[in-house]
Amino acid sequence: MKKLKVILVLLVVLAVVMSASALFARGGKEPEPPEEKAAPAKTEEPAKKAPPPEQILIFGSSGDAVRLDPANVTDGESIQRMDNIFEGLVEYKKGSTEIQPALATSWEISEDGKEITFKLRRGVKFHDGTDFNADAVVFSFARQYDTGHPYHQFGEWAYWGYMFYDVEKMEKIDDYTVKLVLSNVNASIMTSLAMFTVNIVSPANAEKYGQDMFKHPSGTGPFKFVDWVKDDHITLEANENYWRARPKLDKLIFRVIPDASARLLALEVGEVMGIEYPNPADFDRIMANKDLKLLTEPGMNVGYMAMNSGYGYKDANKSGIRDPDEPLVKTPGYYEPLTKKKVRQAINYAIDKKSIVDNIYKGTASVAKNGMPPFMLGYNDDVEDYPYDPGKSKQLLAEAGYPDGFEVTLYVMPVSRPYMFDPPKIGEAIQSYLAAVGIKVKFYQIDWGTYLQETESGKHQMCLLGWTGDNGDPDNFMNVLYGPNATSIGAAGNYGFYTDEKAQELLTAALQTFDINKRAEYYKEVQEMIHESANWVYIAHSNQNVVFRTNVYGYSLHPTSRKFFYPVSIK
Amino acid sequence: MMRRFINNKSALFGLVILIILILSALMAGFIAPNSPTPSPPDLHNSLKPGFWSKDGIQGMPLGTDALGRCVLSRIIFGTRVSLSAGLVAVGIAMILGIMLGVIGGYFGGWVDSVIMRFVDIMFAFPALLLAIVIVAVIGHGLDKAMIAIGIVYTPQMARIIRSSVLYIKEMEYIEVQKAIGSSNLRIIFRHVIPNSIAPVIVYGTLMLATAILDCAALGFLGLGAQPPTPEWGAMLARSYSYIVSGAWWAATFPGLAILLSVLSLNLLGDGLRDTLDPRLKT
Amino acid sequence: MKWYITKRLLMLIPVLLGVSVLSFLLIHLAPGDPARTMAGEHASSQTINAIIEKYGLDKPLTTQYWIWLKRVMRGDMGRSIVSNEYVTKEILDRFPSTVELTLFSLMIAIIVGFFAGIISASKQYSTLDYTTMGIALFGVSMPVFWLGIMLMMVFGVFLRWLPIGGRINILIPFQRITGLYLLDSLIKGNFAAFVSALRYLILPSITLATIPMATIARVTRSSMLEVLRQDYIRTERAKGLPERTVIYKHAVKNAMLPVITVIGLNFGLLLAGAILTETVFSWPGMGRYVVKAVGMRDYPAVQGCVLFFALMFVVVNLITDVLYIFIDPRIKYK
Repeated sequence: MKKLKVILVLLVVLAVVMSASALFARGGKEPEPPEEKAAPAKTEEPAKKAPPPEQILIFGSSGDAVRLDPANVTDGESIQRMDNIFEGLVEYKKGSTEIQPALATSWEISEDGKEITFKLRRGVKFHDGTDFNADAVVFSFARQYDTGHPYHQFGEWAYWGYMFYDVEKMEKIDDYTVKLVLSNVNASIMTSLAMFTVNIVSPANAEKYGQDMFKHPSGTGPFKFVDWVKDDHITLEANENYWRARPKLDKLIFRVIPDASARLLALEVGEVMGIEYPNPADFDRIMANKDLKLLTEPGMNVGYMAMNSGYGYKDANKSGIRDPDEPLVKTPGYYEPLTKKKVRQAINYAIDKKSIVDNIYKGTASVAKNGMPPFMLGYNDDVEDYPYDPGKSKQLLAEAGYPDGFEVTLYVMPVSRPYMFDPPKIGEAIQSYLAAVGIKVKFYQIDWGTYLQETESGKHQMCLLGWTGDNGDPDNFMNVLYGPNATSIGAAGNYGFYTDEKAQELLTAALQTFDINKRAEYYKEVQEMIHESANWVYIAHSNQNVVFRTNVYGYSLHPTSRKFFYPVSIK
Repeated sequence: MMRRFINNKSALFGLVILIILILSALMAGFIAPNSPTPSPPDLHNSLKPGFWSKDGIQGMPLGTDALGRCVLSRIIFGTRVSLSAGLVAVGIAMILGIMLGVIGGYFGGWVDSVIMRFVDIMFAFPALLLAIVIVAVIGHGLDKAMIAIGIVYTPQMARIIRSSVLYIKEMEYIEVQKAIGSSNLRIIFRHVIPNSIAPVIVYGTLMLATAILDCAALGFLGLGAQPPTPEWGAMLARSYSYIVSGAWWAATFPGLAILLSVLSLNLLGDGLRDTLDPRLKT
Repeated sequence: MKWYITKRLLMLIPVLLGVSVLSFLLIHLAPGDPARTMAGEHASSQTINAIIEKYGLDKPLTTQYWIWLKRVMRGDMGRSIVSNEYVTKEILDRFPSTVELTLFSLMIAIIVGFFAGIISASKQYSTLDYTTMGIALFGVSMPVFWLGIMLMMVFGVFLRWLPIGGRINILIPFQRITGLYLLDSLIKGNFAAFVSALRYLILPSITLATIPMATIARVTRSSMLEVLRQDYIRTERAKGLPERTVIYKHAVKNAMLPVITVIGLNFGLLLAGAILTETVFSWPGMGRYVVKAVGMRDYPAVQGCVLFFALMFVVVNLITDVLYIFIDPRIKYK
């Protein structure tokens, strides 16, 4: 028995040692923010004067944030947190992609359209207590484009490259005036300025944390960052000094629950008050529950399968434009059958999109026939979609010289995105549709970062991808996703490698045209051309869905799928 | 010996289940009521219940998965995938393990020390973690998963073989062989390996059980078999999110199949051990 | 005894060196150029050069290893490609939750497994014995992830008794101290938090405990049977000591030795099981982190996790070996 005790003692020692090491683990060695405001221990005893209960909203997210620096992320989960911490010069109006003043009170665009002067809001403070002013604006921009900037080395600035390549510089005029200088006229720049990428960060905070700024965000937004328990939750609290009225929520917590069904269960028992990306198969269950409300609306997105038609160009001078001295060259994923229009059309005929939308999306999407959503300017409703017709498909394959089909590799996204729910499932469905016409599809799956990198380099033969609109402008779909200028190998956005020069002429003309009807005509013509060339199988425009408990009020969906919790309250 | 095995009811039970599994693997095409990968897919059959329900779908006794495929047929074809994956993995472990174990045990000295230290090092990693890491380095896929698991199991096999080689080496007939001038190679292949085969069979069977489990685990984590291969772990991973929507069958049955096959191998392995090596009787 | 422990510690050195070499090589075995691998796909040439400089990647492999080892000794395992955070920090952030899960599971496994084994052995060939051993056999054959899903389905989805993901109800005010939530809530006397943490812990820990529990039960039973056959036990029985005394006072402690070994060895299984359990139950620990890191090809993070897991395993094996000395008289008296 004595030995038994010894063992027990040793086990206890083991437990203590491990807990002690865990304790050590928590006692971080790095500069923690000096706050750690006394934890609300008060709730332990029943409050005597019964102050109004704290309004805490816990939102169930599908993943953890990666970093908390608005200019240095590309993933929806990080953006979701930061949209409530940071603000930009302008912001979107509720539920639309029109802009309204935010940190800038007014602006003036020069005659040639290349200079925009902003008057900045006075009296706004960052969460770290420092003043918002022109220096902060210049800092937030310059660190992204100026390679000599001391903070440039701490980020990848991916979105800057996608959306702001026309920006030459941001200049300080006086403490509350700044000037944005463009190298080219860009009709959509104002709407782009409402994007998270150009949100304003506190320079003092950046100086304090340097490379570690990504985990100590400090902005001017309605909520302040409190703490981040990795893979578990991020807590924000109301910014008492917010320049608008203080938010009604006292706390906003993003809790990570990766599995869609676990998220729904947590919502049903009230452990979270809202969730994103509900599983379409659970919709009946949600509707049947009186405590829950489903917010849903057509999303500004498209999910597609792109077929690499074989040729792109090397953008030697990084102009983003295919210059005369940049010839078309084979992409790394060049694959003979897919260079033939008939084969691509045959693939379009072979896939029953309606069945995919009905049974996999469970009706939470609409079948797509064009590369942008129907409610956008210039959508061509006259395009007649390829119907599901395996017979016709086989016939086209035979005509193209592949009566027995062929083998092809399909890149399948490893993650669900707002524009495509459960890509592996959709990939599997496509795989088995194509098998019916003799095309054998091999899956290729890789991590998301590498996936994007490889598809941008045209290494894929076919790939699943999609797009959620950033600013509501048709150019943000048509030119970015289908413009021949976007077939630059290594930085492509046109994953079908559609290279018709005439299409580019039309798209460029459209961007420079201010007459809305004329502009629409250009886009319509391009859609017709793309349809004929059939480099894409457009699958669906997904609805965006968020579920809340019925006592949560004030949330409205935004077309860009960004999530703003400022107006939300709980009753 | 045979009688002793037959008298071991649980081992016999394991053997029977295993034979059934092997038969269904071999004759999957005849037994399975439907294709495991119908083309084009019947998406409208997505997540339909099976025989237990009034609304059960005809001809698919265990219901359908999210893509409307017959769960039973996929499980039957999955037997083929899982058993062969396990066999290949254990095969790799055996070949490498026998090589290392025999060389170490037979020659002893510094060769043995080096091999055994290496084995010690490999043992410092939890098996599944090591397999995951190997897959991370060599890439995803069923073939890669089999190789990874084979490598991970090698040290275990090497240790077992080594200890039985050490035992055999001391036998008189080996001394005799040495005395009459037989070459080492000849002694190893004619005497040492054949005589150390009993523990290899016992532990090979038990190892096959864990290999099937680990293959399924890698499939579950998305690092193993790729679609549309009907691999049990992957089937489970792709359907467990539908449990809340009420479709419990698509995730439940593949798991049962894993449990059953692993159980049968464990029963058989225990029985074989009692029969072939009574000293180890538990 | 001192000598034994010293010897045991010395034996650790080659293993630790080997483990570190393997972990070090990981980045070099991974496809692609190591500097690019460490910097991440989107890194600029500036960053890559800085990394080559810092880690001496242009030097011979042995030198690189030396540089790396020195850094690791200081606790610097580089930065994660994905989050840009120090890998050490990422791991230590998640370490407590894995510790809580594995320790709690181990406790369940030992208590239940050990007593099941003893009872089984003392009533050999009874229905109880067969049932227990039957269950144990199912236990060792169980796919951990499936068991987790089934428990989730029954107790979380259908019966709604227990939550199926996370560690604690965030609505309950709670202060993290050690990161072991049960312990933290006890320290603060926060009963609500304790109950909540326990509720979240039950399903994952039962899932994780099953295999070791079954193994422990099986080994305990066979080692008890072995002991019960010994002469001194027969003598005691012949002396007319009550069966209870014979079993619990004399047999149990002698049957403990192989069980301790199994517990030590099972710790590896437990860590591997934690990888699956954490994935199924969204448990924010190291297991889920390593799977995520592998999925994102975050090699510095994978490297750190591998090293860390191996160290934990080695330390636990050391502890079991030391435990041995305390209970095995033969080693003690030698």
